[in-house]
Amino acid sequence: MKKLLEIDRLKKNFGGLSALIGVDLLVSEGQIKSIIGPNGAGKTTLFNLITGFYRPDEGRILFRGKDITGLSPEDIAFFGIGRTFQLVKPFLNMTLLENVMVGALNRTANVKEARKRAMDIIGFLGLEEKVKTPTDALTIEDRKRLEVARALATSPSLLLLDEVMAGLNPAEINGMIELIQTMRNGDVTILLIEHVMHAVLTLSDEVVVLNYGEKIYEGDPKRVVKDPKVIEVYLGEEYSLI
Amino acid sequence: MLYLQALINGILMGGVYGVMALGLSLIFGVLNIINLAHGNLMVIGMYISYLLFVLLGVDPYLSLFVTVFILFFIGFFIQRFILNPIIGAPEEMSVLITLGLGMVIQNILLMTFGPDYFTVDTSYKLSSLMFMGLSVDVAKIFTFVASLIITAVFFSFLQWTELGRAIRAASNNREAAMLMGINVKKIYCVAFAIGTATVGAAGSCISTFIPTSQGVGILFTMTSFVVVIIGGVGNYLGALAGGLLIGIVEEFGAVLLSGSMKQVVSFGLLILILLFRPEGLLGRKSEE
Amino acid sequence: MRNRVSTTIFFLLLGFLFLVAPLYVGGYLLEILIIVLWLGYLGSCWNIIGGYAGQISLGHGTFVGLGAYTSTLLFSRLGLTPWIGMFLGAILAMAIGLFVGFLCFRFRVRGAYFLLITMAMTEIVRLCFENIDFFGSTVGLFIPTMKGPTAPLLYQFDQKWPFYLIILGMTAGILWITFLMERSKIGFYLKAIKGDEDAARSLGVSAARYKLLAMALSSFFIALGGTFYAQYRMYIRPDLVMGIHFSVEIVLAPIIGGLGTLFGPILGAFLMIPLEELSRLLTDFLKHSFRMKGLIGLHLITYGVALILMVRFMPYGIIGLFQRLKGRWAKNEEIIRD
Repeated sequence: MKKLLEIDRLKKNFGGLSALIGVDLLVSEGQIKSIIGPNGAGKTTLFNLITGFYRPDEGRILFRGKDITGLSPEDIAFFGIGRTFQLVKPFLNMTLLENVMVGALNRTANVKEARKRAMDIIGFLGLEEKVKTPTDALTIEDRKRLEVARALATSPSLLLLDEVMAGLNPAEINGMIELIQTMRNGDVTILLIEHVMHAVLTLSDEVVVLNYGEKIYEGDPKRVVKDPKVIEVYLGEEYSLI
Repeated sequence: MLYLQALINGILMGGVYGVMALGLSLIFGVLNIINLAHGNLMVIGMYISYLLFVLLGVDPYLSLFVTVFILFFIGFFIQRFILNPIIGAPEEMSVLITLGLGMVIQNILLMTFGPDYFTVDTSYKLSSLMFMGLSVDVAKIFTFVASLIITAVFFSFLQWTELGRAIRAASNNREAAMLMGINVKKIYCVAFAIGTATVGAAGSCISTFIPTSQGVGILFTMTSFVVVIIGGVGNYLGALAGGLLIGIVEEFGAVLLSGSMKQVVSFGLLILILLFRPEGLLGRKSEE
Repeated sequence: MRNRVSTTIFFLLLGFLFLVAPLYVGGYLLEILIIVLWLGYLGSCWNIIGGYAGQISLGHGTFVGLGAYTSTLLFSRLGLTPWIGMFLGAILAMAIGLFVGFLCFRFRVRGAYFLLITMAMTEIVRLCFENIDFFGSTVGLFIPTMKGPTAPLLYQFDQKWPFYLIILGMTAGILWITFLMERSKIGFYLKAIKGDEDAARSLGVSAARYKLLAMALSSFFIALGGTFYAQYRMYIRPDLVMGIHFSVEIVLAPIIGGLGTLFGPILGAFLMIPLEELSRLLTDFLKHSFRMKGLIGLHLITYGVALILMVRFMPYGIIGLFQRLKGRWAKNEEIIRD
């Protein structure tokens, strides 16, 4: 399998705080890979580094062999990495359709084309019914789907999903799981940050566990729940181990 | 020699600039509000002192207490009814609202007092001390001393009173403060009120040697921002240091360019700082 | 489809009415109309950066002033017709706008600080102009009057209606440009930047580049309005075309009418100016009847109160309110059907 994203000894400090201490990561094309770990482990920091919102203090990030370390978020989106945010950021001053169109405009300057692509994506995400709903009236599930739709509309090869299941009920979670699988079948590589274990175990080809900015486990999802280091880290934490 | 004179004047003026900035630093730092009405509130203070002087013969350094009192309530009112409802809204909202507020204040003053300049002609207004060939205006000295006192009161309040601690807590971490039972909304009102009271006091002090008029508000607002940004938002010591710096810089600017170009120097400094060191020369209070 | 046809007819009709207004509207009212359109024009230019891109500037007066002074000085010193001078002024304004924008947007200055920078900038420029005799200092500059048949070539007319037509054309022009921009990629991207800059960037929107573009457009076109003012009034002075007070006036109309909407600034101007005239008449009336100092500044108090109320309760302006009431989401339904 081809190497899509390579992260090499990534380090990030904030003032006196070490958010990431030398993390290596490899994502292969066509994979679904999950990153789990307690709060504050550095997961979202990792996403922010990959997508250019932070600059690493040390280390490199390669995408398709090209060094993208320190590039701006818009350039990284152009190269084919899309992302959602943990706290969703819909454009409240635009309609649902327009929101997704912004994503679609990443690949075309033609508004009509963008509209068409946006409608396709909206259909794929099952949001057709909600197109008439004012953006600020959308439910949390709809907003999460909108977030995914928008990022997907940019035609990414790699999609970073940050806790996209948070706040969803079991039925909605299953819906999202299906969606992610369909996306992967449509040639989008997925890197997830998740707390919902059921989704992690169902979806992932590989799981990475971060703790205090370090990678403490990488491998088969079926074995991650049995790894002693991982269990120790999660002892005392409340997680849904459905 | 000229420069030494400018230095002295700058330092004396800097004291009151510092006081102006203290109020704004509190408002900007604690409430994250860009108070474009700051200077206009100061002008209210100037008019109060002017009125009390003209009608009752009260010296501005005494009517200062009245000013503080009145402006405290005005500030409390503003925060309670106009600004509290928009806590958490985007910054632009507070900017535009305070802009509107400033307009309302300025034009109410305009309607009431007309467009003319008024001066408080105290007995010491025109006297100055001669000291080694330098002339120092007595009024400016009084203002400087008053500024030091006001600053000391301000600091002690924030440092040693429970209310002051509550304000600092609320500014550091709103949620945590709320969880600890601090009524954040009321704290915000008090904080804003202290900010306006402080700048009102500055207005009283300054009325002894600067003519009062409805239109000068924006100038004071801008100057306050220069000082606050340079000193670092929320950094009260920085506000003082910044005040002195700007006072000196402006006086030197007046000597080098011309009196009316003073602000070109201070505003130019503002632009440079905002671009290259927005946390201020002394650094912003650290945020958690 | 039917909606589009009736809308077009409506606007053609409206346009026609505006076009022939000078025929049936006399002196005083025509003057008012000219000022309304001028303010609406300025507001529409500002709207590109302030309303659509969401970057509030309280310093756009600088560009108006630069336009006015450039064309005026080129004319009075070199005899260059303001028809050309105004474009040179606009280019200068655009250059300054790009410079300031570059410094601010590339350095990722936060919105509040950008605002303060624009305020500082416009005051600095105003103070400089007030202190340099070449620019007429606080006395201002008079535009040399030209009589005769060549006057129009020098942007001078002895009647009001040509000025009316000019500003009408300019306003129609900026509305057309805004209209095209709104439905283009640029429009979508600017709105996204206003909505959430980080999210926009994560979708491939280069925030700095598009904000710069908005800055360039707004500063260029607003400067043309400066030359118009100079030629209409035949007199300019720093505080009339520059400075914070003037810049605030420019911003009031879009806020009241609706930030980031096509007709917001025009609507706002149509509400503001009559209000101003009304309060002026009221002031005169009270002055004569009651010998009061008058209600100077009443209209400004009203603006201030309006501003506070608008921002607090109607952040989308009057047009925005309209849109929400009408349920603009019906637009989407129409689009899907197409």
